[in-house]
Amino acid sequence: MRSNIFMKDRVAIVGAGLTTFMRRALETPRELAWEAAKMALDSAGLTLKDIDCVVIGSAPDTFDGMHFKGEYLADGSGAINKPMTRVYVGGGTGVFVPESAYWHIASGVCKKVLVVAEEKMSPAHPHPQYVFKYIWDPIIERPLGPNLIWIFAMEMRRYMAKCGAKKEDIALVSVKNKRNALDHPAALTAANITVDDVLKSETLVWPVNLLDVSPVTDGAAALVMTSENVAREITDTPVWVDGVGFTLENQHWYNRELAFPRY
Amino acid sequence: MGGNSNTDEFAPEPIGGALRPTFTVAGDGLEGIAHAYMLIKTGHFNVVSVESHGKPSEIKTLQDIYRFALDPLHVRPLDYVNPLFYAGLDAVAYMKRTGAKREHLAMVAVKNKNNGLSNERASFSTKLDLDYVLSSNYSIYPMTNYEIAPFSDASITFVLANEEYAKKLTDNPVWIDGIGYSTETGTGATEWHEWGKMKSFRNAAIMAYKLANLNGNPQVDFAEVEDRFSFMELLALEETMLVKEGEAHKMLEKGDFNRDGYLPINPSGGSLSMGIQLEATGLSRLLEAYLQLTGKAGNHQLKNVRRGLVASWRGVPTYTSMVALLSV
Repeated sequence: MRSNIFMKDRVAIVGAGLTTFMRRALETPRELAWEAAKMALDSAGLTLKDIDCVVIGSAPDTFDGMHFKGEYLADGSGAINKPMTRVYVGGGTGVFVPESAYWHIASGVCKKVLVVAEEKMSPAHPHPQYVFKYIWDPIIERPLGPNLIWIFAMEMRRYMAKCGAKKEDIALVSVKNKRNALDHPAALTAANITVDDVLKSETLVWPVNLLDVSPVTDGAAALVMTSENVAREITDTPVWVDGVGFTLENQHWYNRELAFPRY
Repeated sequence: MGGNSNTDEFAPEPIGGALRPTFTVAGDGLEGIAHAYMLIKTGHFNVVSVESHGKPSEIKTLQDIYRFALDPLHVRPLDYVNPLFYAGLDAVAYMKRTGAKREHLAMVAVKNKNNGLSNERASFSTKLDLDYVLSSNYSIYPMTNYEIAPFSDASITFVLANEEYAKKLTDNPVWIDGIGYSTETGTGATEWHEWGKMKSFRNAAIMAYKLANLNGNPQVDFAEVEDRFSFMELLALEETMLVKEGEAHKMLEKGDFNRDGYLPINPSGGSLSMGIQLEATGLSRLLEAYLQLTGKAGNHQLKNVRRGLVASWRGVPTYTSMVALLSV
């Protein structure tokens, strides 16, 4: 990747929308996507007719219980008769979707892009954690029956040992973030808690406690991103995307330095 | 579909993606090419590789996977419908609209299955005559088994580069003049689909031709187009504006689409001969077009080809298509 000082189109964010995050939403995934997409379009003062490209982001299919999830979300995301593409990078998908929209615009191929990310994990019974069974290597790892929190626990333990962090220090992250969200209308588990609450909450896999991890939620988020010329017409206060970056680590988690994500 | 969730996490080492910007496009391989095209056009990237693979032979429960692709409220409760019925409906509506006969659909299969005989990658090619296809039982009305492409395993990789690097890397690059992709409607809203047409092909073609600064028929020398169902070849040719609407079956009958015809279509044998490699299918069409344009197609090489078109569809039950225009 190199810098391009001759970039034709700077990329701006001119509208955004977010649904309330909740457990077991009654809306279908398509409805969640449209709720966020409509909010984003309204905040930019645009309609679907103005949009020339749609980028959808959603984690691998199984979580929503829908195969071809991008195709399923297409109409909910306003992609009818438009170039529509779905991208994902696992857990980072939410941030990655606007990055993908960035090169749709920076390349000059699209001018006004609707960016939609959606996830409805609650259809998985009894718990979406079972879906994670299928993310492991089918020969080496899957027979051991690992789950995701085991890996987080090992990473946390290694980080604590290597960097000298205590459980109390790490609990502060949860305390800060849950408190920050108290006034956030879309937050699911905002709370005014103390370090002690975190430490006393149920231990899932030592050293990870219940209040250390984020819960499973349903929700959608959307952005309207445009090229510089269009952004200047739409708003006086665009947010500029100055740079994007993404990297994938190696295939097997046990080959990584658990305390230091090189990616 | 290969039995792994989080497929991108299985990719990095085998494709050289570890500690590099790597991501998954949940779509046909040609959509990946469109992303690579845009990445290079931003000016940030010099060389981008696109890999796509499909391993349907590992799938035990294909019917169930299809079932999960159907709309959960309206179609899935219909208890184990064969999802290929969508293609049957489209085929009948197409025949009614254009006057194409059941024989024309069979002719596509005969042409492609025989074309494949000289292609070493075409595992499903066979010597076939029209009477044999016509006397077979329907599999999905109005198509027999010979007119529905079977599945095969494959992995295909392309390396794309900007002009400066392409000239350093090779003496005979194939240029992507234009690329386009489009979705007509979601799988949960098939009631909005215009039966017997494929608007996504048309919109994808318009996008690709626009990027190539062309308006309408791009005057290609040959094309590798979607043929996982025989009628799709005719429909794709009309919707990408290579031939006039309602003319495809007449041209087919005249032999225009044969390897020695006026506009050779699927000289490789298409998906009917090479099989469906799930999301790698579009790339296998692109690969064949690349081989033709660089003169490496071997026994099925066409003479004097300078420009070709590739068109692919994501298959039932989607309405998403991709089109790429190539030249040397």
